Amino acid sequence: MIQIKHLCKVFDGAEGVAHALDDISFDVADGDIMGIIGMSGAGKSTLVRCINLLERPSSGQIIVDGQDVTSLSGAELRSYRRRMAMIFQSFGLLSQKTVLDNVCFPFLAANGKVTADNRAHALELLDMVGLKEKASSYPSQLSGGQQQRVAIARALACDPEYILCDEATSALDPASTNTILKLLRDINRKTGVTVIVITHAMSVVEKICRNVIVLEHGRIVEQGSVADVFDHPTSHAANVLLERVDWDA
Amino acid sequence: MPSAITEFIAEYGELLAEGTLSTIVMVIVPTLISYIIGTALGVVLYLTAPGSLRPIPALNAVLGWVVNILRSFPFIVLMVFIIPFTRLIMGTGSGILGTIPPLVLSASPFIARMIEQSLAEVPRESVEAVEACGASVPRIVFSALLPEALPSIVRGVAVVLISVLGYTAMAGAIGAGGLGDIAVRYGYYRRVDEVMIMAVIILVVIVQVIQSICDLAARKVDHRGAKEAASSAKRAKADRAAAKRSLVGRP
Repeated sequence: MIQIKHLCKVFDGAEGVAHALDDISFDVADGDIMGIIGMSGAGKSTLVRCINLLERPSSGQIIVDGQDVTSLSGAELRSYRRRMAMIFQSFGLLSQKTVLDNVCFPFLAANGKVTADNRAHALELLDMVGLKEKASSYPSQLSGGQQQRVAIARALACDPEYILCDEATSALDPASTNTILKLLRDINRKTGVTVIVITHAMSVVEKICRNVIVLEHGRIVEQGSVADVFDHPTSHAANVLLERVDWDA
Repeated sequence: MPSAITEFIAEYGELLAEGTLSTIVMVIVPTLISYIIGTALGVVLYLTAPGSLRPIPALNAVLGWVVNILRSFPFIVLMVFIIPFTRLIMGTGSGILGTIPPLVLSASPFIARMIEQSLAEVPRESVEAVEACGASVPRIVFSALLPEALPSIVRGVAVVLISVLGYTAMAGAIGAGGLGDIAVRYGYYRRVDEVMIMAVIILVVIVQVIQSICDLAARKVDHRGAKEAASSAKRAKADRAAAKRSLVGRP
């Protein structure tokens, strides 16, 4: 379970201080698929990057299974990050490594070597995402949707308890988006892994999420089950994202 | 006509062969040493930059400053300037041995900047993705950053080798020998134009060979898509042009 308490992130920019996140508090239950939605610049990427500490929060706590992780560093931080896999908008694959070596990277990161067992496991994961025959290809030879599936296989190689998806389908066409979403949903059902999905597309939330948080200007303006928020959106941001405002107004 | 060629070879063949050999040694040995120093420096510059993986702005600023100072010395001035230091560590201030310290001191900061730039070309998300896998900084550097930057680094090797080749001509001024020295002595002082022309032809051939080998190697190790590879090749070309410009106008 992830508990976020009074999380703030402040950036000191050239144009003064920017409050990217302002007093964010929410919980994510184990096994949930949680959507975090908002317009560009609402702070959703910053939020998810704070969860795996790619960004250090300015204040507040992130408590994962009872442990405050915000103060972690060194080996503890690295082992925490392995529990918290991440998928990126532009995939983040290593272009000089084959698909198989990319999927094996978490083993290399964890143990300093890749064993034959690791390789076999990586091939199973590639089989699961339907790309076993591409194991010896390079990422540049794959389509965007295929690259994202490789990234998912890599994320699973960490054997994570949580998967963070930062706009994972925003660069993909609708068909690839559906493939990726189905994959994430199936993985969630099969392994019980908790998934946090950052997106600006309500359709993504509608398809796979159970609960949703709406962010605007670094604050939570609405949260609840997807059904509730979709049926009775109260915030302006939610109405805009659901396209329930006159676009030409 | 054939007899003229035979005569030329008999008279100057050995001189030119020796010159070619010492030029090659003078290019390769300091470049190898410089790559060890320059790569380490380049990685540190990259890692310690603000917003990078191990930001240490003060160290980054000091290193950047040292690199810039060394790079702002025209090579021939640097060479003369550090002769006492060269004598101290090499036992001699002249000859091939005497050229190694100034060449290393000149090429290392140049290489450091090229490595830093090659590392900066690696897409941010690729670096963050391996960071998010729980990789340590040394692991990120050796298993992700340097391999990802390899095609760009290999393209840089050509730029460096050709620059160092240019420097060795100036090193002739402290009696290091080599083709540049032969071209200057025979062409400028003795007015034996054929020798100068021949030395220049050999230099041109060396440059072409370096370029072709490095281009081939870069293509061989590059598994990126056509778009990224093309932009990296374009940058290397601009670097080469800049390196050549920096040689023009220096004695």
